[in-house]
Amino acid sequence: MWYAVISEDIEDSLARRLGARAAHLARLTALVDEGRLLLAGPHPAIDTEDPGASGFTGSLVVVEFPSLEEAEAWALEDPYVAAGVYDRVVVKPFKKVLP
Amino acid sequence: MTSSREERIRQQLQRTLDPLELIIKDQSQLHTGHEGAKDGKGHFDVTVVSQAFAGLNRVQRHRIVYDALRDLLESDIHALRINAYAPSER
Repeated sequence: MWYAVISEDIEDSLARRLGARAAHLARLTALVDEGRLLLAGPHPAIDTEDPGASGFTGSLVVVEFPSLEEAEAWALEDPYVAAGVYDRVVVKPFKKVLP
Repeated sequence: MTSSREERIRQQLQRTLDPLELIIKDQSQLHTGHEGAKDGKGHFDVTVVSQAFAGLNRVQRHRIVYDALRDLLESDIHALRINAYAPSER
């Protein structure tokens, strides 16, 4: 089923994000290829799609896994965890109703 | 080769986390031929019990372990499954 992976960044995470972004995206594109990614993207720190130096405060990823345990393990292995981008990650089962 | 890798992981975690319990499993053989195994680095499952994890969430605990193994992640470790507990949780 689907799982929402809701991540919160440390303060001023932008430089760390940029450093680990390629590895972070590679994991996500692999899931796109398998049809297991519903959506993914970061939360701009200010009210615009391109926040520039203000950066991002976290990420939302909705991804398919056989179990919550496997989704959590995958979330904790995100390169953004090792790079110190994320400070907190919550994984919740997600039921897609609309559209 | 495999055992020395495991030993390097053990030494670095011992030094930085002073663990009460430390279990390292080399699971590289489960991933032979798999895309990620091509670089010759290994898959490891690490269970650590340390006072250093008390009061921290799972992301913060993972980061401490990754920081302790930073250089080995470049040279020896392809994938790492981390189980990190504070003493009160065991």
